[in-house]
Parts: sequence; structure tokens; C-alpha cells
Amino acid sequence: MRIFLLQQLFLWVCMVVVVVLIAFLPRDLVFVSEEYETYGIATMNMQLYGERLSEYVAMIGAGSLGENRYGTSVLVDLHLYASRSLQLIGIASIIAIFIGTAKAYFDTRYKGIFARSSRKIGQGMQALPDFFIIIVVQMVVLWLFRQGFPQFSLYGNEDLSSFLFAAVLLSLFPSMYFANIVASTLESEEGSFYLIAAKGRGVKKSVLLIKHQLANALPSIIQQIPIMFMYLLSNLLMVEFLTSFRGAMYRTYQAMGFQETSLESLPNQFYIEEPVIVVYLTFFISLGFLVNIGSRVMTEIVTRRRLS
Amino acid sequence: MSGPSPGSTKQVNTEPPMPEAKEQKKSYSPTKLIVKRFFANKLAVAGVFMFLLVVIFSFSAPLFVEHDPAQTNPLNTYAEPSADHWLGTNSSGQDNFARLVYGGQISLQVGVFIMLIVSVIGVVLGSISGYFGGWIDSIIMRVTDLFLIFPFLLLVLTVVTILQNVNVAILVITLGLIVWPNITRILRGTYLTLREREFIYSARAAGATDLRIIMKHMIPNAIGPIIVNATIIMAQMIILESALSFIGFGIPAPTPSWGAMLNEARSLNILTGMPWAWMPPGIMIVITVLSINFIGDGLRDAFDPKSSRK
Amino acid sequence: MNLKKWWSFLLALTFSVLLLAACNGGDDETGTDPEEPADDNGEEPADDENGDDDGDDDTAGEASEGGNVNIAFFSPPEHQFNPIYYTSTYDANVMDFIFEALFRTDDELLLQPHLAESYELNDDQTEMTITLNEGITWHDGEAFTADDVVFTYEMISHPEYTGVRGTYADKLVGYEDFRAGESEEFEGVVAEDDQTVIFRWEESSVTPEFNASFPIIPEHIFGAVEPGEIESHESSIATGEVVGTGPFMLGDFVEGDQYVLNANEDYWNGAPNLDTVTLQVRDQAVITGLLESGDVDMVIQPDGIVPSDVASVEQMDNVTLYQPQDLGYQYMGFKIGYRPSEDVEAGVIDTDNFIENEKLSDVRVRQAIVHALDREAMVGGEDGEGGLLQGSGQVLHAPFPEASWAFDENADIGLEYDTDRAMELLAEAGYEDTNGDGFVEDPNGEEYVLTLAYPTGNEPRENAAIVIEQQLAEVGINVNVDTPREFPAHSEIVENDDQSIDMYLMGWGLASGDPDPGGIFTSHVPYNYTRWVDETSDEMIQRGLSAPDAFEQEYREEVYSEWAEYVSEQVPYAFLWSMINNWAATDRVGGITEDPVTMLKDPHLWYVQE
Repeated sequence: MRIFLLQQLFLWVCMVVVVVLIAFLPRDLVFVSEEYETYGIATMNMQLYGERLSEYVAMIGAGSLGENRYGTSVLVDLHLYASRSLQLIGIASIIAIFIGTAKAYFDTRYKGIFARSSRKIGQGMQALPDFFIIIVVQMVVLWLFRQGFPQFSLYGNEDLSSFLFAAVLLSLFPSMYFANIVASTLESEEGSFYLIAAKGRGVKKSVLLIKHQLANALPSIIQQIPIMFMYLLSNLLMVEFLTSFRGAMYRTYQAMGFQETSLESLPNQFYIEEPVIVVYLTFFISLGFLVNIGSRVMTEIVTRRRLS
Repeated sequence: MSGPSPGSTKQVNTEPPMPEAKEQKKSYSPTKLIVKRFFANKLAVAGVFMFLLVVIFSFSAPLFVEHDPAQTNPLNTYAEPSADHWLGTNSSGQDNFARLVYGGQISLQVGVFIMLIVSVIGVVLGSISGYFGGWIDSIIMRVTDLFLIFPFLLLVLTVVTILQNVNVAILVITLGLIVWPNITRILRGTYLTLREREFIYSARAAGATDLRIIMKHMIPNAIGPIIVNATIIMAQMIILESALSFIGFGIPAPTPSWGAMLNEARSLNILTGMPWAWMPPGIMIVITVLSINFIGDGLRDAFDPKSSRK
Repeated sequence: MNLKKWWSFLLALTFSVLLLAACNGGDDETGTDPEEPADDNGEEPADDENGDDDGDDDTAGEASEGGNVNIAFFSPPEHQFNPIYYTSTYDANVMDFIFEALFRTDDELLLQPHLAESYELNDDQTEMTITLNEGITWHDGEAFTADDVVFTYEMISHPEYTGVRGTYADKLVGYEDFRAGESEEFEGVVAEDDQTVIFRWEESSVTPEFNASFPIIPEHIFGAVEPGEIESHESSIATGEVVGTGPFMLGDFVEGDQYVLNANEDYWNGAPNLDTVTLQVRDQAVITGLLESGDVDMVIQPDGIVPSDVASVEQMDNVTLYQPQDLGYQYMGFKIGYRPSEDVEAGVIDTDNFIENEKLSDVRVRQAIVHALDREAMVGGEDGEGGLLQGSGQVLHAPFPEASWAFDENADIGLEYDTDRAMELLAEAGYEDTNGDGFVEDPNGEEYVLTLAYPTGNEPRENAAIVIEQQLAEVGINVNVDTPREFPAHSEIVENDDQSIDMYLMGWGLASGDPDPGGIFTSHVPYNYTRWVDETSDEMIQRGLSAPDAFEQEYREEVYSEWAEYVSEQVPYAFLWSMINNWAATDRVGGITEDPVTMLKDPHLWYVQE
């Protein structure tokens, strides 16, 4: 276990270093004037790269992680946006695990046409682009509003309703994924000896499923949680982007120079905020690692309890 | 599924088929048997059919599309479908139908090329890792860990942001360099089991070099998982490319792209009022990806009947 | 960081573009006659706007005290909330609630006293004595006095001042010396007593009210700050520290996301009805949806609703669109003449030296070109489809904004889209296709190519260049479109009479003060970029300003209507279009003052009705 933690720590450090190295790649804009035209060219300048890196390292050495473009500490920035995202992720994970398990139970418990098609839908959906599905869902909801369905806020992060809507959208794909995992793990238990024995003794199928199959499958299910989580993070960007949820992904996306621009704003390159990118990416990496470690610890606990 | 989940259920870690298939009741060769099993799978055949349609649709574009997908017409923006513009025009007055068709070429190209790059990297590294084991294996595996733990889309975004001026080639290479760990891991697993097979031992005993063993014995026997995973990668990459274009980080305008077309649906008016502008590219992505997935499932079942699920 | 430098470089650049394109044309250059009567100003400062909203909200519910209004726009402010340093219009949106000036425009675009109570001008308009309103206090309770006015003008003239607002002060007496640091006293603006301030200009000021209309900053705050450090002082950037005289105060904000403005209960014009106003930065893509669901109450300048979404906003029951004409307009100028390069170097404008551009000196050719342009198509359909503007604009025939009294809606002016007429005119002028290449040759049988120059930075205008090329080709005129230039470079070649260009695209601000077109269209003025020399026009412009007839507005209306007709026939410009702003508010908000330039006038009158 200790080796595992050390290994994870080492990996984490490597990742952060890679992020810093990438984020500070020089994109120095040089303005070239030709006749009456002026345009910017991004150049690669190794010396500048060194300077930027050492500047950054020196800043960290001085105890600061940098500032955003308004001169506020990136940590304050991170705190604001990341806490929103964390709440969203939390709610979505709970929904995903709950719905996923319920669906898996339904799919394995029943063999009818509904269960089978529910299963197929679950598998098929994973092959679809999430953003397309989200757009379609949005359109359907907007259409419902026009039909007189009570309106609620679809965009942003201020209202409870938009928050929940985003959480539901976010949980959509992970719960399908989770349901598939749980279902196939449950099924892999199917043929095992103790089940046949229990069935023979007339134990109810639902009891069997929950008390035995699920309990037995728990370790392997928990092992899948980090993957589901990665899934969730990937979806998070799309959800935040499409619902204008001002969370950490959205902020990272902004810091990468993507702003809603209008005629009067400046070109995007000028908005790239390297320290912000580094901090947010580190945040997401750390999240990944934490979930990874958490799932490992959980697995260990569960297995140990079962062994004892 | 824009961020292909590492090792999702779709990633099949099929057991390599035995070199001599046991069920050779008749005189079918293993290859023929695979083909036969594949074509017995209705969904897979439908997949092939759909996929071919998409390919033909996209690549025969010059024959039936008279508009240039990049040609803007500022006086005819947001046009409704008409005989001239079958799917109307977009915000720059470009013909949506032409963009749909030519966008397919881009999507398919991106999918195929990334698939090739990733397969090559995956096979090479997977072979090295799985065959030799030891320290080189653990290094490669730790590196794949690094990639797998990272929010995938974000990594791509970061790289694309830094690179700026993205074109198809740059995008393909970037994605290829980021996506390889998945397939590498799976192939490594395959090789680990293969390594313990008798025929490898005998080849080694006969004095074959490592390279020869890998090339002559291991790769041919791992061809099933390689092909299956390659198709899956291709489907994922098509989605990924459209996702990137969708959020504005993909191949820049005026190159047509399905994702970029979908982006227009972010405007409320277009989302609710002009479904013809964004539904078709969405449906095309779904059709393409589904057909590739059907093919992948069919191939998996054909290569390894045991893995097929009820 | 060197990034920062580029920032400020670009900000400055952007600003100069804006300034050139929008402000100068309208505000500075209008009115050349020092005798210009100004007595119709200064009366009835503000009528009772509370009652005269749009009449259609009978269904609206009860007005209630307090509450919050959410206002959305697309891009985050730059966080410089000091009027003397800000450059972004998004910052201006925040500051509009906080800072006020001595004068502001009314709904007919005339400057009226605001912080000022009344004013007097001397005969040659070199001196203006302003009496300030009494009882005005800053947000922190300090009294607003004439010293604050003096201080503000000193700061934008100060040697250490690095901002771009110097144009408000640079014609004042003693500006040069003060700016150079050679004198301690600024004679241009002097406080007579607490309520009286005197502005003095070196020469007759054509637009005294405009020059005196810069937002006032508090001396008691910034007086203690080194002038060079004002820009980064916390009272220029931080919540709770920004002090103005306006109806709202800057409260908490989440940078780049939302900015809360708290009511100033002691506002001199009456305490605001609302408790707070929240300015929100929201994605362009979702703003319309937010409006429909009521999450956002108002969508305002500078961007407003995206033209392509206007159609769906129109259908929303709960939303009222405000579509004042934008005061900027676009035109294609014909280089009828050029200044010789000696004159350009010497900075001289002498109409006698102008070199005629034979390609365009025939008025029939210019008319033909205008007839060949389908400007309706450029503006696009009402339903948000097609066109360069998706319908959010209108075709223009003369440089008067609709809101101005000089605009004559009944005038039958302008040359309609008529390609046959265009070809006829060309043939009459001797331009015919003699070699069968599809393009006309000039009367001497030489190849006839017109070069069109245009700047980057305004998407519809950029697109217009290609459209113009295509449409002129249809009547046989071969246009060579230059690669677009950055705006400063573009305006330089236009201004300095680069003889390689025949036509150029540019924008002016519509006259927002006095409608006198003399500042741009008189033959000898620098802004007459087309070098159009026409005595009839000059005489009319003169007539519009000559006493005593010109004291009568009706008389001037007549003259300008006549002039508009003349100019649209002589076509020194092909006027293209003026945009329409698409601002919107939900019916939840009442008391909005309709104004041609802003949604944010008198926010203290706003109220929420549930």
C-alpha cells in the first residue's frame, strides 16, 4: 500500500511537471508589419521558454502560484470555480451510482423486452457523442417549455434548477457506463456455485442479487469507479460548456484563451492565462489521483472484510 | 463519449485465438471461419453496409455537390432549405449540405489516420512491453498510467491551445500521441498470455530472434484484438474530432467539419428554429460511429466467439 | 511581463480605432460656426420619464420597491473602473451607474446639463461658466464641488497621465504648458466657487458642452494619490472603494462573472427604486435563452442580442426589444480627388491643388455605382435571415440619424438598386465594354479598374467588400479589392490620399450633437477624405448655419433636407447602412428610459414589477 501511494505521488509530480512544461511553451507573439498590414506570428523561442519557466518557478519559490488576469491569486480563483464543479461532480456521481446500480439491477433481474432494450440503449448510448445528446436534450426541454411545461432555468449556475439540470446531464453517460459495468459483473457471478446452491434452496432472486451477487461483485465494481470518474470529467467540460455552468472546466477553457468575443474585444491569444491553466489542470489531475487512491483503499477494505 | 474512457467495456481484451482453432469440424481455414462468422452477424453486416454508405456519400461528393463547402456568401446567410441549398446555409452563407458531405471526408480521414498511428504505436510499445517485460515494461506501463489518469479532453485542449494554427495533420498527430496508451495496455495483456504459449517456446528453442518471434508469431496471433481495438479507436476519434471542433478547438474554418456544424446549435434560434442546420451532422456522426461499433462488435465475436455476450 | 505591454498596445489600438470610427466624426466635427445658437439647451433638464415608457405594458403587475435587476453582456470588463483610464466598453457599462458628467445627451442627442444646473457661454464661445447643481454628494458623503471638476480635467491633462482621454481637454487654455509640466496651474478649468466652474478654450469651441462632458472623479480620493498611480489605485479597481456621484455604487463582484451594484440611497436625483443591479457576463450563445427564462432581465450595449437571434426574441411574450439606430454608419467613399503629396507632407488642405481622379470624377459613374449596389440585400431580411446584418440595420441615404431633427423621413432621396439604370448611366458617360471581356473600358478605351480598400475589424463591413466587388462586376465594373488592412493603416492611406485607391470603406459616427454636416463634407476640411469639391454643397452647408435664419430650427431642417437630397445625388459617398442595436428587457423591469445611445440612462427610475 505504501509503495502504491509513493508511486502515485511520483506520478502526480510527473504529471504536474508535464503540465507546467506544456502550459509555458512559448507562444510569443511577434508582430510583423508588411506594407500596411500588421499581423501576429507565434514563435517558438527556446530562450524565452527558459525564461518563462524560471520566472514561474521563482514565483512558486516565493510562495505564490500566480495570478489571473485581474491580478487575483489563482487559488482564490480556483476556490470559487472548483467548489462549484465539485458540487456538481458530487451530485452527478451520486445520481450516476444510484441510477447505474438501479438500472443494472433491473437489467439483470428481468429478462423481458424492456430490460433487454434498456440494456441495448445503455450500450448504444456509449457510442454516441455526448454533446450531441446534450444538445438534443436541451432542445427537447425547450420544446417542452413552449408546450406549456413549467419553465425552469437551463443555463448558468445560480439557480438550483439549472444546477440540478447540469448534474442530471452530467450523470447521464456515467450512469449508463456504470450500469453496464455493474450488470456485467453481476452476470459474471451468475454461474457460480453458491448461487446455484442458493437458488436451489429457494432464495428469492432479488435477495440473491442484492445480498450475494452485488456484495461479491463490490470490489470489482469499486475498481471501476475511477474509470467512471474519468468519464465524468470528460463529460464535465461539455456540460459546463453547453449550459454555461461557470465551473472549473469552463474556467480552464476560458483561461486557454477561449472567450466569447465580440467586435470590440481583443484577440484570444491575449487572454491565455498560464498560471490559471496550470492550477486548474493540477486540480483535475489531483482529483483523478484522489479517486484512484480512494478506490484502491476501498477495494482493500472491502476485500479484507470479506476475507475476515 | 468525447473522452474515450480508458478501458471502457468496449475495450475488448479478447483472448487470442488458438493458432489451431479447435472447432475445425469442416475444412474451413481460420480466416474463412472468421469471415463466415462475421457475415453471420446481422448487425455487423448492417454496420458494414452503413459504413460503406457513409464513405461513398462523403467521397463521391464532387459528383453531386455543386457548392464549394468553403465558399462564403455573405448575402445568403441562414438560408432555409431550398432546391439550391438542400440544407440551407450557415452563418457565413456556406452551403450546409456541401459542408455535411465534405465534413464527412474530414471526419473519416481523421478517424482512419489516428487509428493507423495509434495502432502502430500500440503494437510496437505493446509488443515490447508484453514480450520483454521487466523494467522496460514497467516504464511503459507507468507512462500509460500517466495518460490514463488525465482528463483526456483537457489534455488535448491544452496541447491544441499551445500549438495554435491546427490543421488536419497536426490534429491527427497530436491525438495519436495522446490516445496510444489504451491500446498499448490491451495489447500488452494479450502478449503476456501469448508469451506463455507452447509455440512461442518452441520458436524460441529453435533459435528464432526476438524480432522474428514478435513479427512472425505474436503479431499474427494478436491480430484479432488489434483490429477490434483499432475500429473502436476509430469510432472514438471521430467523436473526439467532432467534439473538439464543436467547442472551437478542432480544425479551423473554413475546413468543413461535422462538429463545427453542430456548434451552430448553440444559438437558441438555430437550436429550436433551424434543425436542418445541425441535425444532419449530428445524425451522420451517430450513424458513422454506430456502424463502426457494430463492425467492431462483429469482428470481436468473429475472432473470438467465446467473448460474445448474450 | 511582455504580454502586458501587448495588452496595452492593443487596448490603445482598439480604442483609437473606436475613437476614429465612432466618436470623432460625430461629436467633434459637427458645427463649425462659433455663432451657433445654443440657447435651446439648458432648459427643462429632464422631463418626467417615469410615465412615458413603452405603452404596451398595461398587463404589467405592481411596481414594487427594492429588488434586483440582472443585466447581461458578453465579455468581461477589464477591471479599470476609473473614467480617466478605462478603455473597454464593458467597463463603461459598469461605470455608467457610478460616474456622472456635467452634461449628457437627451433623447434627441442634444447635450443637456446633468451635474451642471445651468451654464453660460460668452459670445465667441471661448468661455463657459457652469453652475453646478446643489446638494450632490459623492458615495462616501463628501460634497461634490467645482474643485472635483477642476481636478478631473487636471488629471487628464497631467504630465503623468497615460490614458487616452486627453481629447476632452487638449483645446483648453494652458493645456500644452500643463501637460508638459511647465506650469502648476491649469488655466483652462477654474473653480470660481464651490458651485461655479469656468472652462476656457484657446479658440472658439464648437462643441463646448461635449468638451465639458467628461465624467467627474472625486478629488478627495485621488487628490492624495500620485497622479501616476491613479490607474492602479484601489479606488479605480476595488469593490467598495470606487466612489462616484451616480445612482449606484460598485458592490461585490466575482471577476469576469458578475458585478453587483448597490443603490445609492442618497442619490441627488432621488433614491433608486431597486436595491441592486447585477451585471452579468454571459455567453452569447445562451443569453437569449436566459432572457426567455427570465434569468436575465436586460441585454444591453455594446453587443445586444445577436442579430440571428432577434427573430426568436421577438416572439417571446415577456420581452420588449429596444432597437434604436446605432449611431455609427458605414459608407463607401469615392476618392474624387487627391491631395498632392507635398500638401500631405505639409499637412495642408488646399482645394485648388487637389488632383482629380478621372476614374470617378464623372458623377454619372458614381451614380451608376450606387445604382449597382443592392444595399437592401446587404442589410438582409427582417426575419434574421440573410444579408450582412441579418436585418439588423437600415439603408442610409444621408448622414442624419433618425433621432435627429434634421432627418426628414419624407424626403425622397437616394438612388435605388437598378442595374439597368446603372449600365445606362455608364454608357452615357462613355464607359462601354469594347473588348468583350465583360468589363467596361473607360471613354478612351483603356482598361477600367477601380481599387477598393477596406479595413479589418468589422465583420459585416469586411464581407461588404466582396459583395460590392460582385455586384459591381454585374454591371461591368471591374473592382480590384485590396487585401484588408488594420484600421490605423487603412485610415492612414485614406487620409494621406494614397493615389492607388479609388474607393474605400469606412464608418463615421452619425452626428450626435448638432446635425451640421460641415465638419465632414465641406470641401476644405481634413475629414473630407473624398476630396469632394462642390460649391453648391458648401453654400448649402453654410446656409444651414448662417444667422439669423439658422436660429429657426425649421429653416435649418429645410436646408438640410435639401442638402441631403443634393448629396445623395452627387454621391461623394455611397452610404451603405447604419446598424440597429438590439437591446432587450423583460417586462419584469419597469421605468426604463428609452434613449438612442444607452439602455442605462437613469437606472434609479427602474423598478421591478412582479
